[in-house]
Amino acid sequence: MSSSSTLAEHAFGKFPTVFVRLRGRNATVREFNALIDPGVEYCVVPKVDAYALGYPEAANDDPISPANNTLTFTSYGGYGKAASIEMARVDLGSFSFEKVDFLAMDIPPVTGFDVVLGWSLLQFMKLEFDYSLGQLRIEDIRKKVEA
Amino acid sequence: MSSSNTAPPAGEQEGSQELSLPDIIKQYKGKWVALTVTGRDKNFQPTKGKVVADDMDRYMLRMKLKKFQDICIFFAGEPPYPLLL
Repeated sequence: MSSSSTLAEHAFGKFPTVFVRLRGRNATVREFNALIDPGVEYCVVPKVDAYALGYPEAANDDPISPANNTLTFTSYGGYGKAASIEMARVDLGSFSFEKVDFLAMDIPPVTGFDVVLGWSLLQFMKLEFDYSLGQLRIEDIRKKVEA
Repeated sequence: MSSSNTAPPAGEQEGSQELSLPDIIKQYKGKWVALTVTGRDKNFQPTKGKVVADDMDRYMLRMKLKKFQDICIFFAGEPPYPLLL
């Protein structure tokens, strides 16, 4: 991977999306065209993919004995519950982030998105959206924070 | 049982040709697509790939991907309704 600390002039359509590679704790990799949503607190991955990435607890739908990592959240649709998992690694452009918090939950397929990048990852970046041009620029600010 | 039928099940593709992402979107519009990435741009974003499976149902697509250790999945198209998450 390059040592560049920016992802620049990345074109998007109506919605800001970017391909992101998720490496699970079983070393399986799934790459998704993820929606960047600064309005959500957690990143989201479908349960079936969380399972494939080595998080079987994400497939526990038992309301009587939920998994220990079940988290209650609020959304426009009201309250919900989902398994909280720690993604081993997230690669976005030339950046790599380890141990990123995700919720394993299914967004309705009709949206055309199944992975969302929220604050749990975006907190490490500076994002610039230009909707008039349909361009996105991302800067990894961890080095500045640590400096 | 005969072993003469070696064609992959519908929606699974073996030996598919390399296509650009815009061509994949055009060819598989409205479907969930899985591809092995063969080309990337300066931002490491996929630009080319070989489609290994497609399906209208994203869950059925996953069932076809169990053998893949590293695969890229996306929806070819845009949502048919206004989006409010």
